Amino acid sequence: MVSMSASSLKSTKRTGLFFVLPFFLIFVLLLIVPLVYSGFISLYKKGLIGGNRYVGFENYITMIHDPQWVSSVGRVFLYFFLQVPIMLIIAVFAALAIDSGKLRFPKFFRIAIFIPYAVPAIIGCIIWGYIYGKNYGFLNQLLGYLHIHHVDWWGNSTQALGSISAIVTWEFAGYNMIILYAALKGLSTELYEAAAVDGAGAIKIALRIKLPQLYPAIFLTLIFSIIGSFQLFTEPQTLNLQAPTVLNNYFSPNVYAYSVAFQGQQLNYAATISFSLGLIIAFFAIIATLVSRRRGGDSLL
Amino acid sequence: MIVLSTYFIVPLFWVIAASTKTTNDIFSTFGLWFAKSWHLWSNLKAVFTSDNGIYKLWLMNSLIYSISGAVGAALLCTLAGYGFAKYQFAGSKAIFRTVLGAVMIPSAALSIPTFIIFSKLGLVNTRWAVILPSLVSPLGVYLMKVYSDTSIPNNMIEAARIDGATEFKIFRTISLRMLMPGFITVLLLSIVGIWNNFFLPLIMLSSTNLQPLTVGLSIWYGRIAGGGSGRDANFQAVVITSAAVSLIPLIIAFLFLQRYWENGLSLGAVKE
Amino acid sequence: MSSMKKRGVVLAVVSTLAASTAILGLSTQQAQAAAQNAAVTKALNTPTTLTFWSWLPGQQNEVNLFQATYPKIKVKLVNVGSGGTEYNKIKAGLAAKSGLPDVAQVEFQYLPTFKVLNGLANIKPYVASDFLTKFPQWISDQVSDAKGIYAVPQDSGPMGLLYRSDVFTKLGLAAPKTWAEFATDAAKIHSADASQYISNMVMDSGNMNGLYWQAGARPFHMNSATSINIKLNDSATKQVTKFWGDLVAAGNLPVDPYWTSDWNAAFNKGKYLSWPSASWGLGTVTSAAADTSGNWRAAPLPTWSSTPVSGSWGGSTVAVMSTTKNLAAAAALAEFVNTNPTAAFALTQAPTFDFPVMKSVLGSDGFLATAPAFYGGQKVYQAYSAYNNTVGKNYEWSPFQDQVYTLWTNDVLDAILKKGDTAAAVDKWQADTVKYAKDQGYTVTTK
Repeated sequence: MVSMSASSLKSTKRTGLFFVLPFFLIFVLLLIVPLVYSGFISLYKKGLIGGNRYVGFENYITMIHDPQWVSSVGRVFLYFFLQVPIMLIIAVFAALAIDSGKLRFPKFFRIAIFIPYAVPAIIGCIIWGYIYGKNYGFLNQLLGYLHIHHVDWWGNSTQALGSISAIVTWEFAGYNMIILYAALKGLSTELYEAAAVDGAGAIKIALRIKLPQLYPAIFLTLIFSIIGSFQLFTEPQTLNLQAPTVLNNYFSPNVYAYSVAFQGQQLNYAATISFSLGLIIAFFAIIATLVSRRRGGDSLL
Repeated sequence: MIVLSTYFIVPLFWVIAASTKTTNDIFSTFGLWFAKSWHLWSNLKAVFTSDNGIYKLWLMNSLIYSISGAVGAALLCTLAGYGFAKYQFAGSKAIFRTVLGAVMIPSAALSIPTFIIFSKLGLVNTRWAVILPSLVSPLGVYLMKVYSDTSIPNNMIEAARIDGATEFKIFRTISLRMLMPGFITVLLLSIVGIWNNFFLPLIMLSSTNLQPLTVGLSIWYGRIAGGGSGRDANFQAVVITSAAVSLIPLIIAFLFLQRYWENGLSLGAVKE
Repeated sequence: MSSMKKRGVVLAVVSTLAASTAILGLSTQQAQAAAQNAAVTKALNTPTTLTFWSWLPGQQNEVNLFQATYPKIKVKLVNVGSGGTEYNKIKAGLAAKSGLPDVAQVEFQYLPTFKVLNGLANIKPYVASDFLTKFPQWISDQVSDAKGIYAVPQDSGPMGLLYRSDVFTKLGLAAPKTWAEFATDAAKIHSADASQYISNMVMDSGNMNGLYWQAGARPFHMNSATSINIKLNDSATKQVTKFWGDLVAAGNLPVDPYWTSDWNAAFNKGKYLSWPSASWGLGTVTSAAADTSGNWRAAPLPTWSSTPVSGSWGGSTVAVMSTTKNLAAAAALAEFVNTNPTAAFALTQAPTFDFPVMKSVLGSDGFLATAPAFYGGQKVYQAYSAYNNTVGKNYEWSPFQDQVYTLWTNDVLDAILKKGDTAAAVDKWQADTVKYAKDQGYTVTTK
C-alpha cells in the first residue's frame, strides 16, 4: 500500500477540524457562552431603583444564608434519594423480566412501560393533577369505593415529593428500561445457556449473570437521573395551584430561580442560583462517573 | 409485571375516557369508564376552535421546532462525531472531552442567561430562540462518534483516499450511508426532546402564535386554575381533551420507530 | 390727550387684549382638542393590527364592537393566562424589549409595578379631555398622576358576601352582619352537617388583602419615587389574620386551594355555603355551581364594627404598553372597550359580571335592574352598588405587589395552615417585605 506523504496526512487530519467546527461553534455560542455569562452576571446586582453594580461573591453568600434556597436544595436531594432508586429498580426489574423470555407478550409490556416517555411532562401533570384531586380526583374516588378515607396527596412537603416522584417515575422508568434492555440484548448468551444446562432458573440467571454485567448501563442511567432529578421544575411549577403553600415558589432550585427572575425581578440572583445548581449537578455527576469507572471497569464517559 | 403495567397504562386510559365527558361528568362518574352522555365530538370541536383555533398553530409549531431542530442537531452531531472518530487533529481529544463534560450541564442553568443574551440580540420571541439552543446535543455527538468508530471500516476510507477522493466526497458517498441508522437515532432522540421541551420555550416565547404545544397547554391549564375574574370552569373538558389529542402524534411515532430506538440506545450502553 | 381719554384708551386696549387672549386661549384649547382627535382619527383610519392581551371572558364582544366601528383596525385578542402568568410575560417582554402587545389587561394592584418598570404609555393626549371625570375619584387616582394617564379603568371589585340563603334559612340563620356572628354561624353550620362549612378558608392573597382593606389596613405609601413606607403588621391586619387562623384551628373551615377543579366542584356540591368575594365572584359561582342555581344571594360583608365598610379585590384596567408602535390607535382601543356605553354595559352582564367603574353605567337603570335567575332574581347590582359606596378610601399599592402576595402565602398562609402564631407570621411578612424592598434599592420607612 502506498503511504501518504507527511503533509497530505497533516492536511487530512486538519479536515477533521472542519467536520467538527459547525457543531463546535454553536456549542460554544449556545452552551459555553451562556454558562460563562451566567457566572459573570451572578457577580453583579441591579435593583428596581439604582443601576448595575459589581458585588463580587455577595450574591453567593446571600444564597447560602437564604433559608428558602437551603430548603429547595434539601428537597431535591431528598427527592433524588426517594425517586431515583425506586425508578431504577423498576427499570431493572422490567428489563430483566422482559429479557428473561419467560414473559408472555413481552412486546406489549415493553411498549406499555415506555409509552409515558412520549408524553410531555406538562400533559403528564395535567392528567396526574386530576388523578390526585383532593375531593374528586380519581385516586380518592377509588379509595372512596373501598371506604377508605380520602388522602390529601399534597398534604405536606414530603408527601408532595412522593406524589411528584410517582409522576416522574411514570414518565421516565420506560426510558431507563429501554437503555438497560438494549444493554441486555448486547450480552452474549453463551453464559446463560451454560447456566441453564447446569440447572439454574431464570431468576438466578437474571440476578447472578445478567445483573452484574448491567452495571455500566445502570451507572449511565444513574448519571442521567442525577442530571434530570436535580433540575426538577415542570411538575411543581405546573401543579403549584393544587397546593400553593406546599408546592410553593421555592420547592426546587429551578422553581425558585424562575420565581426570583421573573416575579422578583432579581435576574442576577436567579443567575447565581442557576449557576450554583449547575456546579452541584456537575460535581455529583463527576463523582458518579469516577465511581462507575472503578466499579464497572469499562466506562462510557 | 401486570401490576406494574397497570400503573403505566391507567393514567392514559383515564385521559381518553375523560375526554369523552363534560366537565361535570369528569367529577361525578367513575374515572376509567364513560359517562352516560358521549361528548367526545363536541370536546374535540372545542379543542380545535377555542381561541380562534390556536391549538392548530401550537401543533404546527411543535412540529416545526422538533423537526427542524432535530434535523439540524442530527446533522451537526453526525459531522462532528465522524470528525472526532476518523481524524486525530491537534486538540481533538481535549475538545471531545469538553463536549462530553457538557452533558452534565443542566439545560435549566443555561436558559435564563441565554434569555438575557438573546434579548440583547433581539432574538427573544422569535423561532430562532427555540431552534438554536436545540441544535446542541453533546450526547448526540458522543453517540455518533461511537457509531462512526464501530461501523465504518478504516480501510474503505484509505482505499478511497488512494483513489484521490476528497475527504468530504468520501464522507458523502461512503460514510454517510453507513451512518444512517445512527443519524436516525439521534434524530429521533432530538425530536422527542424538543417536542417535550417546556422551560426553554416558556421563557423565550410570549407570542402565542409561536408557542409549541407544551407551553400552549400550560396556558389553557392555567386558565382553569387561574385566579380572579375570567375563569371558565367549563373549559376543563377542553383542557383534558386537548391533552389527550396531544398524545397522539408522538405515540404514533413511537410505535412505528421502536426498532431504531433500541439500536440507538444500545450504542450508548455497550462498549466494544 | 386728557387723562380720562388716556384711561379710556388704556381700558379699551386692555379689554381688547383680554378679549383676544380669551379668544386665543379658547381656540388654543380647541386647537389642542382638534389636534388630539386628529391624531386619533388619523390613526383609526390607517390600516393597523393591534395585539390585545386580556383574560376577561366576553372581551371578544367588545373587541368585535370596536372593529365594527373602525373597520380599518384589526385587533388580535389573545389570552396568555390570567394575572401573574400574564404579568410575568409582560415583565419578560419589558426586559427583552420585545414580545409585548400594544394593549394589555392589568389589574389595579399591578399598575405601580409596571409604572416603575416604565412599561405604561401616557395616553393623556389621546383620550377625551373629560376622561378622568367619568370615574369616581378613588378610581381615577389609581390610573393617573399630575403628568398623565396610564390606564383605562375597566372594572372594580367591591366586596360582599355571596351565601346559600336556602341552607341558612333551613338552619334558622340570617346572613351574618358581623364577623363575630360569622364565627358562631361557622360552628353551628359545621356541627349540623359535617360535610358543610360556612365557607372555605381564604387561601387567596388578593381575597385576604381585600379583607385587610376592609378592616382599615393601609400598608403602603410612596414617600417619593425612591422611598416607600411599609406597614403590613398593623393591628387591623393582625386582627383579621387571627380571626381566620382561629376558625381554621377550630376545624370549622376546610383549607382547599382556590381555583382548582376540586374547589369548583365544592361550590357545586354545597360544601361551601358562602364566599366573601368581589362582585365578579357573581360570575365565578354561576359558572362553577350550576346545580345550585337559584339558591345564592348577595349580602354585605360582615363587619368589625357597626359602620358599614367594604374592601376591594381586584378590578382591572386596560393599559397601553410603552413599547407600542401604534400609540394613538392603541389608546383609542383601550378607551373604547371600557368607556363606550354599549361595551361597558355588556361587560357587566353574564358571563363576565364585571362591576363597572364608569359613573354613567353605575347609575344607569339597565345596570341596576340586573336580576339574574341564578341569584333568585335578586337585584344584585343594586346590592353591590351600595357596598361599592362603602369601600374604604385612600388605598395605595406597592410597586412589587405580586412579590408581596407571594410572601403572604409563604409566611402568613403557611402559619395559618400549620395552626401557628398568626401575629408572628404577620410580623415576618412585614420583615420579609421590607428586606425585599431594601434589596431592590428602596429606602424604607415603617410608620
